[in-house]
Order: sequence, then structure tokens, then C-alpha cells
Amino acid sequence: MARKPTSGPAADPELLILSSLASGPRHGYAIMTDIENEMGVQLGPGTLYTAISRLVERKLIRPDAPDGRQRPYRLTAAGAALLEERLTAMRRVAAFGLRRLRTA
Amino acid sequence: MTRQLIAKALLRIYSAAWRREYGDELMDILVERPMTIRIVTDVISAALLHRARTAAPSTVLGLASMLVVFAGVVLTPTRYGSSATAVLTPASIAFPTFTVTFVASEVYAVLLIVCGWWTRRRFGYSPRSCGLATMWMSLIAGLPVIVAGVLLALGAIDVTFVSAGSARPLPLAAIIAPIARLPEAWIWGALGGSVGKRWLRFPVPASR
Repeated sequence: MARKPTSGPAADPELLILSSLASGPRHGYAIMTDIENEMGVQLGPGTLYTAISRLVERKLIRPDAPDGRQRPYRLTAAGAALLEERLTAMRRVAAFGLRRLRTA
Repeated sequence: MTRQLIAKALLRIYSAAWRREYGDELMDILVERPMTIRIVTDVISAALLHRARTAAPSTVLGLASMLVVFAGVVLTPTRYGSSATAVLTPASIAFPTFTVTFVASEVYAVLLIVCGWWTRRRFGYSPRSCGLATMWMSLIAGLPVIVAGVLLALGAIDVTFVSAGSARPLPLAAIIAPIARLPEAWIWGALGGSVGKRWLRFPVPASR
């Protein structure tokens, strides 16, 4: 059952896909199940492939040689840099919020 | 078998180029998983978003203008209406005898220039090609009036189109009204394309 996350980083399918590919190449179905198992977020297949096509267009991921009808996708250097930048920014926000919560 | 047919139908919503690239992979997932309403909705909404994102400026602006003209056709009373609801206005020249009210407005002229400029910015077309794209936009915008004119000629509908006091247009005049404005659309579009070329040149987004 496809369920779109509603807010926060989990709402961004592109960030979730980049995070899933950070550990190595995966094909679409594997990305979907990985995100489902690790993050508890169920990306619909339409959302998943539309996001994959945008990431390929922006050269943040690229397809490898096909494995049957499925092609594994791999993070590019630009994709890895963007993911690191986004995650670092999110960590700063999280640390700031948590620090303020503890001192309140 | 039914699941495969539904999946194939859903994939048709995406553009042919997209299907060539990702169609087989998405098809496999759709066939492998249970076809729920949520999945169908997800694929349809994602495909429509993809279409909107990749559509040519002329198609986007044409469809938006078409909605305005369509609303006019639907809202026009079957008897003579006020000038505010008139879809067609008597022209001050011999040909065409009527013009589409919205298409003859200043707002629409600005939209035509924007279409030319946007086309130039997005695809880098020459002003002449921007003019052609703008003609396409204008043709899409006028479709409701053309269709209504044909239906009027067939006797399927009875719409006056014009405000009280004006002569009722012949069906052929309604069909011709939007088509006769196409050369003008070309001029405004080419002008917009020239503006995009000379003064308002922004870098083309890398994602295109």
C-alpha cells in the first residue's frame, strides 16, 4: 500500500532515494523495499520512478548496466555531495532544536 | 492479466520518452505488487505531475487559457447574455466578423508575449519558432469555441455566444473566430521570443 510521508525529511522522496543508494547501487524495487524497511516510509511506485527520473536528469544518480529488465541506480559524486550537504544541514537543525529543548 | 492491462493503461499517461526509459521497470513493480486504489492514484498523480513539469510553455498556457474560454462557453446563457459573459464579440473589421472576447483582450496579448519569451528561455528557439509555439497555444485556447461552433452547426447545442443587441453569429463564424487570430498570436509570440533573446536572457536550468 503506497503511503506518502506528510512532512519533514521523510516527505522528500529524492532525499530518501539518495540515502538508500548511499550504501551501493540498487534497482527501483530494492530502493522501495529498503526505504520501507529502514525508514517505515512506503513510497508509491509512481512517486518513486518520477523521483528517480528527476535525479537522473539532475545527474545526482545514474543507471548501471541492466540486470534483466531492471537497472540498478548508483549515486554520482554530485549526488553524494548533495546528500552529505543536506544531511549535515538537517543534523545542525536537529542538534539546535534538541539543545534548546533541553535548556528550556 | 487484468493487473497487466491496468498497469499498461497507467503507463500510457507518461510521455513516450519517459516510458522508453523507465516504463519496463515501473511495469514490473506494478505487476508484482497488489494493484490497490492508492497505488493507482499514486501513479496517476505522479504521471500528471511529470506531464505538467515537462510540458511545453505553449501547452501549459494554452490549456490555462482554454479553461477560461471553456468556462465562458459553459456559463454563457442560451439566450443573449450580458457583455461580461459574451464569448464572442462583434469585430470592427470585415473578417473575421467575430472575435473570441478573451483572446482579443489585453491580458491575452500579454500571455502570448509571455509564451514566446518562456519558450525562448526554455528551449532556446528562434523568435520565429516562438511565434509558431504561440500559435499552438492560441489554437488550444480557442478549441472550446471551435468545438462549440461545430456542435452549433450540427444542431446539438443552442448557444448565442454574444451579448444582447449583437447579431447572432453563424456557426462558421464561431469556428473561424479563434483560427483567424492565429497570425496575430504568431506576431506576439515572436515579439516575446525576441525579448527573451535580447533583453531577458536567463541561464537555462540544468535539469532541462
